[in-house]
Amino acid sequence: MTTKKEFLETLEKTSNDKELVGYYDELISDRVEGGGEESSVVASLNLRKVLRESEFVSAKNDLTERAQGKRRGRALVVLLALFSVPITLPLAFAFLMTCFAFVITGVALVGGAGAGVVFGIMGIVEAIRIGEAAELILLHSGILLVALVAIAFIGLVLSRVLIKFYRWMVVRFFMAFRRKEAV
Amino acid sequence: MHSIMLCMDAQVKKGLVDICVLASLSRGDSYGWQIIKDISTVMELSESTLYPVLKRLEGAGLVETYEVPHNGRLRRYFQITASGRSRLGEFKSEHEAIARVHSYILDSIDIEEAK
Repeated sequence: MTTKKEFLETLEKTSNDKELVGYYDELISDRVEGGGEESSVVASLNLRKVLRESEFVSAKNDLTERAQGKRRGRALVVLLALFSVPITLPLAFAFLMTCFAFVITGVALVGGAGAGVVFGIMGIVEAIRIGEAAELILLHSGILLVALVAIAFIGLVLSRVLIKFYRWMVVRFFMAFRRKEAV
Repeated sequence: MHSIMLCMDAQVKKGLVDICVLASLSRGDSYGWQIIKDISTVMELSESTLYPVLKRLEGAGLVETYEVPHNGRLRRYFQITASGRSRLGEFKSEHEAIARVHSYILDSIDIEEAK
């Protein structure tokens, strides 16, 4: 690369920064006016370094713009949240009630299964004690088995849900913490 | 002085380049090549180093620009702003404190060498 035109064209193609091109256009012209030879002036400029430095400036500008965009985004979210309160409040209430219903259902299921186990055992003991027919003992054993399976199933589902929830909370907490540290 | 500034630590130099450009502009409005020539008497400064410095100073409102026709083209001049001048004033106060530390260090070295 020997001419100013070639240098500036390459610079524009690679950097896409007109201000940077204008800066070097002026600089080369000034150096040539000062008595330098165009080819040697251009040769003295390190294009790679020029691009590296300009990329640094662009990256910094991008970061500033992104930060401003984020701030604008946050303001919009706050505004939307404020205006959507008449909808979100009943929705949040409905969500809480659904969660509560799930909890109550879970408790009822566990309670029912627990009662099944107790009555199953009591039934078997009573049947053996008074010398009931083998069919009746078998029936009580069946109730006991169903109740135990129900408890095992509920326990399994609950533990999986709780483990997932716990992992989700831990990941969110650590991600938020790491983001704060990075800032 | 020249050789001392040339072999200066990169971090120290980085902090001083902005101030040097502001100091150069406090003597009068100037353009890219002229700024490089002025500062090169005390510190090595390349074209690629000056560009981000000028952009940074302009972004911070410490310098502003205007264009003047020159030999059939437009030459971009840089001018120090009031904020730029107050930054120079701040540097002067900082320098007085740093100079006291330097003086203490140099005195200690002299005492050590005299032993």
